[in-house]
Amino acid sequence: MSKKAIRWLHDELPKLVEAGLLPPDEAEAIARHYGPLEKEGRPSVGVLLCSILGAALIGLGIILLLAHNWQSLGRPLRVVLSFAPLMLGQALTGWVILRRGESRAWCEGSAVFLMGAVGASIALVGQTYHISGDPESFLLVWMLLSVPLVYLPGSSTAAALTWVGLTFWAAMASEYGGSGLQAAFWLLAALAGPHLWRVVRESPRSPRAAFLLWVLGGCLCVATGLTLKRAFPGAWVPAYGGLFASLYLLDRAWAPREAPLWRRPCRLIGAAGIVILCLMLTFDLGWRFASWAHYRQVWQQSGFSPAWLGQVALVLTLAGLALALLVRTLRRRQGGLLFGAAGAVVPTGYLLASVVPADLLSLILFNLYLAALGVGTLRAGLRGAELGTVNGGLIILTLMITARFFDSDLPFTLRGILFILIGAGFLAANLVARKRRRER
Amino acid sequence: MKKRLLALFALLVLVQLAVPAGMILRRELTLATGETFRFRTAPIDPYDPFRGRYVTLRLEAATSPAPPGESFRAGEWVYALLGEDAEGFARFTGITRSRPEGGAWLRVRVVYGGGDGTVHLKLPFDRYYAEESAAPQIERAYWRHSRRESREAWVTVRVRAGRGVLEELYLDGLPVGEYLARELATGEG
Repeated sequence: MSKKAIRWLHDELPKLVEAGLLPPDEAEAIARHYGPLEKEGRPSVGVLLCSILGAALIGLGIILLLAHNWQSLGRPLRVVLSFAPLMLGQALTGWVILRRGESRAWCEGSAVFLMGAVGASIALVGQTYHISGDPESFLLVWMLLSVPLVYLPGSSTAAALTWVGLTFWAAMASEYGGSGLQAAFWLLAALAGPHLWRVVRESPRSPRAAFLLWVLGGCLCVATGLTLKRAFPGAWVPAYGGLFASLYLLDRAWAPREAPLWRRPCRLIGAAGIVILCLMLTFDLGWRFASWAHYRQVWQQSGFSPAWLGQVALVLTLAGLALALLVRTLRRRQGGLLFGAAGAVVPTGYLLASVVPADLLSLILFNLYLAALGVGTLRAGLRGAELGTVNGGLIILTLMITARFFDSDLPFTLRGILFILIGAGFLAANLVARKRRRER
Repeated sequence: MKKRLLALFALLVLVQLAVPAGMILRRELTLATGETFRFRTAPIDPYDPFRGRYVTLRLEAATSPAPPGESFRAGEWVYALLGEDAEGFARFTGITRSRPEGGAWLRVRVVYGGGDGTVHLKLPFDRYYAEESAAPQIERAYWRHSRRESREAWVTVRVRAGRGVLEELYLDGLPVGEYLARELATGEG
């Protein structure tokens, strides 16, 4: 029996029972006889992508048609046309909620279309009334009107798109002449948080969760700098340190260890971020705007506004989160302490540099930590015969040593010899790892 | 359960419709009941005013005398008082930080405060949207009529309660649509 017919049957049976034409237990027997309403299995990625792309293309096509700016039509008619994509999108989404609520392909496609339609409508009104462009507020309004689509009908693509849109908005708001409200990004991005929570809880291994986390991770990397850079000198150090350490430790707590690397975005972004951050902090230049000398001489605080307090609170929250996760990991004796320790090392280094009138201590600290990261990763890779991890450790060490070379004034011959040694070390480590793997 | 979802969705629909509807209503009200002002377009130096499908307007009146002794930051919102010059074109007579009680005024942003006692303002109607085929013609005509010798290009703006909505662009005394039709008839453009 066709799916449509089964659906009709399941719609009709309760009505018949209510009208007294059919006793309830017989209705149940009939329903059982024809089989339950099949919950549509997880759609293939191909179907999903087609639906999303198709919706986006149709939406863009309609926008282009309407953007022609039919000047020959009167203003009233053009106003009506401005509403056309919006009402079309809303009708489609309403129908999807009513009739196709279980189908992810329909939900995603209609949500994407409606999101585009909302933006198009506002833009078309602007064109009709010759409204001077203000991309910042346009983007903010557009994103705010799109966030509910993450829950109704329920779309992960909409969540990803709103995060990206909000990041662009934060960039515009933080520019000279912008509204300066970019710290609100965190609050607005959190609106799609419950959806992410639900997806990660239900299926932490799924491509959907990985997709959401990749997009969110990327947006957070950009947004942290945009929103918190003016909190206090060098605020980016504890902020990014907290962010990357938290991401890394969260992955350790949630994701199953046997998933491939691309499905563990938090781990990759966290680890790479920690390495790059520490690398930057081994340079003199990194501390120039964050250290004791700078605080004493250069920084002038222009008043304690609520926005400023909010930014400081955010930085402290990020750093605090990383520390809390680190303590939790220690208590439960879970793995990942090497990178997770960044949650403690970074704030320590930062405080040292701010309080002690010499950057040298912090520079030494981060050099040692980076070396420990490289050696530790290398050892773990050799022990488990994982080529990827071995190479990762070697890359960290190479980056560190390369950086020190460009820092100091060692003669070329010495540098050449040492590079050759490192290269040989790479090859040797790869050979050892491969041999061990073959032995297993 | 589905009924509740639909009810929530209906609420979302209303909110999404309200935003463009609000934009339209406010501007229609200004166009219907606002005071009309004519803003002359500034002389064009070799500078391409055409960007994409709209024509950028450079309006002469975009400066205002500043109250003595006060300085204004870039990006600050101020209230600019409107008046007319001897030829009936709009010009700003002064700016204040507090909302004016009567008369015609616009809420605008400061671009920068010139040291010579004038303040440069960013007016909210600096672009005219046109059909992509018409825009090049409008651009050429706009150049022709905005040079220092012949200054017969202006825009009419309706002003109400601090909001200005651009009504029409006039070239050589005619609305743009009629001007282009005339050019077509006489074989120019």
